[in-house]
Amino acid sequence: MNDPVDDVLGALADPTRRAIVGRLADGDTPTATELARELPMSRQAVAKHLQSLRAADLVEVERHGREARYRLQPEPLTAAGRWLEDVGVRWEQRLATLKAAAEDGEDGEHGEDGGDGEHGEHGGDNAAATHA
Amino acid sequence: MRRVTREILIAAPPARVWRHLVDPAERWRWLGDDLAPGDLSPGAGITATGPIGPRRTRIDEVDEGRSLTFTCDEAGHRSRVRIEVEAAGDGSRVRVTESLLTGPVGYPPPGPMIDDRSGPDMTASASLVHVA
Repeated sequence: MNDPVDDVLGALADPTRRAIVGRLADGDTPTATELARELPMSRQAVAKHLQSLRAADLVEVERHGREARYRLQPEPLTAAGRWLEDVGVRWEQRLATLKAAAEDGEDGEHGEDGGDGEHGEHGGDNAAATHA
Repeated sequence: MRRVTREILIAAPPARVWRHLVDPAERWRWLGDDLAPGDLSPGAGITATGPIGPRRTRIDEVDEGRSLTFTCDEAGHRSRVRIEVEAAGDGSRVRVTESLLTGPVGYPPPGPMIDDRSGPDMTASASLVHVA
């Protein structure tokens, strides 16, 4: 039912979880206790966030005896990021094509805008990007 | 978070920009086969072959001269796209918002899809008037 991209983006909506992901990004495999020592929060809080990250398949557990170590699984992250990036790039290209075509619009179709035939230079005419 | 927004300023009046959305030939130049052939009207759809499989698109809403909303299904993702055109100074601002929708994969069947083979349906254009 849940979209994997949704799960990933939901998991990363929290700044603490982003901090944990950032901490794991270098390939290190700390325990929850070690993470709690570095982050300003309790071991219980860290464990809860790790659980959310595991649910989104962003983090996997490696068990060594009684010790649980956490490792980043970057693949889902890449998929989510790729979706946002692909979509953004696609629209940038399309809008640039639209702009070129519309500004080149001296195609003999006059009178559609009340005789305003001039189109002056416009400041800041590059595509602006926002990820919300 | 699951939303991508891009906007661009175009040195052409909104009416002319809008024409690039509703005129099938102009639309093709920047949107390719992502939108229905022929006149746009709510319910019209198209199934195109995308790079990763079929891409199905359906027009949801047309606010003449202002905005167009459609839904896309591709590779298990459904997203909704809203294209808005508004006056900005001497020209226009076009804003595209693509939102990844949650929910089960699959296409709701509120009306018949127009297949590629059926070609443009020039009769179902009551909701849109050509500007030119």
